[in-house]
Amino acid sequence: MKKHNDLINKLEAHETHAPEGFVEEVMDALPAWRKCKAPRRYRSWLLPALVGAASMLVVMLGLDHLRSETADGADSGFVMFHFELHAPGADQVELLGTFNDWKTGDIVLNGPDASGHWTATVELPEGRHEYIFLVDGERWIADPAAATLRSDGFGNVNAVIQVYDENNV
Amino acid sequence: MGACTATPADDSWQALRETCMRRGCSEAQMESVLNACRMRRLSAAEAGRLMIPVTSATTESLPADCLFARIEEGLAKNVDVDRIESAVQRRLECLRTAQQIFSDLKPRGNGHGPMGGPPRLIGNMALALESGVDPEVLSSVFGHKGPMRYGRLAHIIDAAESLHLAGLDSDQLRRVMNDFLERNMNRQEMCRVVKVLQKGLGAGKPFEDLYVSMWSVDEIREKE
Repeated sequence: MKKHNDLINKLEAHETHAPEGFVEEVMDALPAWRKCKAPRRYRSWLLPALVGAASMLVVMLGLDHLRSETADGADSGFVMFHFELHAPGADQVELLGTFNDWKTGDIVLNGPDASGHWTATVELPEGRHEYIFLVDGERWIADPAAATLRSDGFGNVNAVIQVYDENNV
Repeated sequence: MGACTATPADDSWQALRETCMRRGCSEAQMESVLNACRMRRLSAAEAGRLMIPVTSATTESLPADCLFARIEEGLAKNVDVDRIESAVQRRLECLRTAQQIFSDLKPRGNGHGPMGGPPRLIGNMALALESGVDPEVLSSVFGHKGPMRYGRLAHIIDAAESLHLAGLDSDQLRRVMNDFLERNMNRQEMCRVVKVLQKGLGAGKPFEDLYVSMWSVDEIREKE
């Protein structure tokens, strides 16, 4: 029994040192893909995670750029806006404003309908706009439905609107 | 044969174009306005008179968009050249005042230099001034403590113009503007306040009554 115990102790105390250059030799012998220092289980998700993080960064930088443009006072979106005028006897109703450089013949309203209403839905850039209706090419009519009206300095009255996408607070 | 020969009139228009371009006018806007002038059968000299405030604005780093718009509006409405010229000149003065207010009291934490503030903000301030908003009211907005974003300021300026046109005097306007800032209201909240006041004033209610009851959110919703 003592003999066995001595043998066990001897074996436990035994140390074998690798010959010089052994590690390098083993590493050289390994295929290239096994030399990666990161364990394989990490590498399976590391690359997609890095790609995801980079994408997030790009998106965040993009959003920040967009926000800084807004912060400078420039609105970026467009909003569909509905215009309407009750002019039952008119032959033609046009819409002129800052959004179409006050051009005649550019936006002609549809109508009249059975109740004498003329309508147009126009895509406007977000922001402040002024406009006026031109009836039959000679009468300038301020929008009676507008909440804000302003003298145009030329003897007529423009409507003033602030148009924004309601989702864009 | 004669079609290829430039007339003295053509030369005048070309010279006007070159002058405007040299002074920094946007080519597209300039061409649009000059075409409108020709459609109205204005001479190059008359068109040149209209363009003087525009070129002054560009050389002073002021946004010229609203000046082009003013010329186009006058031409579309068949207004005579003298009146258009004075209207454009008046708007230029408003732009200068707006720029001055911005330079004197520009909000903290923003990197714009003394010249060339955010074009939309300066433009909206100029239009508010043209509508009759007291410059002191705008100064009080810019003098408000704490960082502010230009986009939000532009909404406050728009609201100030709408409320002035609804009949608020300068003191009343200053109080409401200050509330917007103190309460850190966003655009939609400001719009709701403007609507409530416009509606109330339109119905003949006194401002003080509206003001006292205004800041209850439930009441604002109710009144809408």
